[in-house]
Amino acid sequence: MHFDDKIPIYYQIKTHIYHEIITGTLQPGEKLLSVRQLALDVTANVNTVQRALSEMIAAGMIDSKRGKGNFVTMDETKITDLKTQLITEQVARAYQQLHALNLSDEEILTSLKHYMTQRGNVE
Amino acid sequence: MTAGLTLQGVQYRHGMKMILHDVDLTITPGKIIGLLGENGAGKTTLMRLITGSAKGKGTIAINDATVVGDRKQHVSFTEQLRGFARETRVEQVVNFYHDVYGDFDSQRYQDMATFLQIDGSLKLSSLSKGMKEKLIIALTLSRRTDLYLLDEPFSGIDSMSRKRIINSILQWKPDDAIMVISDHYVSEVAAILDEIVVVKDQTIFTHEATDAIREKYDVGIEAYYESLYEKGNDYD
Amino acid sequence: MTSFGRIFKVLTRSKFREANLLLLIQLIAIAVSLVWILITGALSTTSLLQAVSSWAGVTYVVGFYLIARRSEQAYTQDTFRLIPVEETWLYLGNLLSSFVMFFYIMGVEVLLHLAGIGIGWQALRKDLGIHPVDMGPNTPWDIIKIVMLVALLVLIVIVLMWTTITFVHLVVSATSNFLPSASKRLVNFVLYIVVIFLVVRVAAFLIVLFSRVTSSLPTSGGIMDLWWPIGGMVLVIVIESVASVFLLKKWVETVPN
Repeated sequence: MHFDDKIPIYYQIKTHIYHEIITGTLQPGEKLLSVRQLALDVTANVNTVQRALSEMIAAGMIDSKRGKGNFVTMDETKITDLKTQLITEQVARAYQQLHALNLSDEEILTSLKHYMTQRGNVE
Repeated sequence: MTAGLTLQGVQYRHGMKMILHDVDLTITPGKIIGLLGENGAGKTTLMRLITGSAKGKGTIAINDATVVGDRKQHVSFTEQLRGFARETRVEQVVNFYHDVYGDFDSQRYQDMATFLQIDGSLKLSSLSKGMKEKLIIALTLSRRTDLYLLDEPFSGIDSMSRKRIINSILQWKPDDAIMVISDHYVSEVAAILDEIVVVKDQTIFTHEATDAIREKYDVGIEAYYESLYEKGNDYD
Repeated sequence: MTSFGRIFKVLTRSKFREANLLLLIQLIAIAVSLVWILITGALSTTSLLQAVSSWAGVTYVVGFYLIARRSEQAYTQDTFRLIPVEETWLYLGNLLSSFVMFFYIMGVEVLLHLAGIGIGWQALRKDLGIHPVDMGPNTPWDIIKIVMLVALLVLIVIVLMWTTITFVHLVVSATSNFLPSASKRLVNFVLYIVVIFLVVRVAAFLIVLFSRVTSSLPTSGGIMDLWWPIGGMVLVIVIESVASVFLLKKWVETVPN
């Protein structure tokens, strides 16, 4: 995994795993790799991966079962919430950047629509 | 019982010249540390003080072992194999390590040698710089101990091997062991570091967690490190 | 901590390889000498003994030097100094391995001489028959005692030379840590003068001693004179060893990477 050196690594790992959960690469209830294996997988430090996991456990996205490992939450609403949250975050970022260019809400909507038609609106 | 590595009031002179002074440092178990600083800043000296190869003033403890003789048991250093004759074969060096270090894990060495593609039948004199460095890393990491000191482990090594070495470090470091990696070039390893320690102006200039730097200053580790050498940096 | 046995083993192994290489070269030199004698047409049954004797001296000197060089490396190379063992054991293991290695070279030389004597036995007996050795009033037991004593003396002198070389080396290494390079050179210069002076004095003393022992051979009471110098040298060996271990613990650093 390629990291952006400016953003805390634990945060990037967390985001990476959240993406996998939202896109379904990691299914609800699926077991995660061991901490060390995960560290090797993304080429990061075990402590950093542990921190990312702890935050995800605290957020309820990951269930930690003693002696068994870590599992993606079975709670579908949590995953939906997470998805909504990430969408909001992304939209907010795009909105703020466009807003910073002195675009009105109307203009932002128009340019977004325009962009989507330009791309053929296929995704 | 203070676990980890502790340096208190460490000072070192060589030929009347002050090299390091007022070095106080505490590193908790399990951490991977980047020891940064310009060439000649004293990174190697600091490692040599910890191993006991250099003699300075002050207290140095690794998991409570303060006497040099005891400390050696707790530290594995990337020594450059200078004590061996040029015609010594790699496998003879491995045997030597196996004989003198009770914590040397032959199986782990074999795994690493395979992973790093080290040929045991070669003579030391015929190894390229990169191959020798790989051998040294494999030997150093094959001991099961509390503190690993890797002195510029990536010099003369191609990027493919660097990745393999970084993977070896992540894979084989015991959970509670401390690993200190010195380098004057940080970008390659920045992602795997917990903390950085910068040696500058003959002492420890900065000791900070990498993710804290990213969060606090919103910059990369390399940019942060470079900024320490620019006049009037904003991070103090 | 690493055991004394293991330290001794690894320190001996590196010296053993060099000693064997040296002995191999000596055997080649002996073979070449014999071929040369054969070409000049002077080959006889005593040729082997002559060739062995003439090369033995060189082998001892080179062997002594090689062992000393390897031995000193153990004190300044991280390869050895990082081994988790007390400096005292490192020092003793190193000295013992040097001693054993020199003994090994001596053993091989004795075997070579015996082979030479065996082959040339008939001719040698004839020579001895012409010049019978005058034993005087000495019993064979006295002769054995003298030979043993002289052998002991030689070995002690060799150990003394090693401990002295080590001591001087460690003093030089220790002073280089805290002296600026100009005064470092001065200290080294003074030290070399002192060492050369001492070597000359000790050598002169030993030559006098040996000549006295050989001349006083008929009166076996003369042997007793040897005990004092032996005791003195052992004392110096002990003092130098204690000082060397102290230097290792406090000041002697390894060569940086």
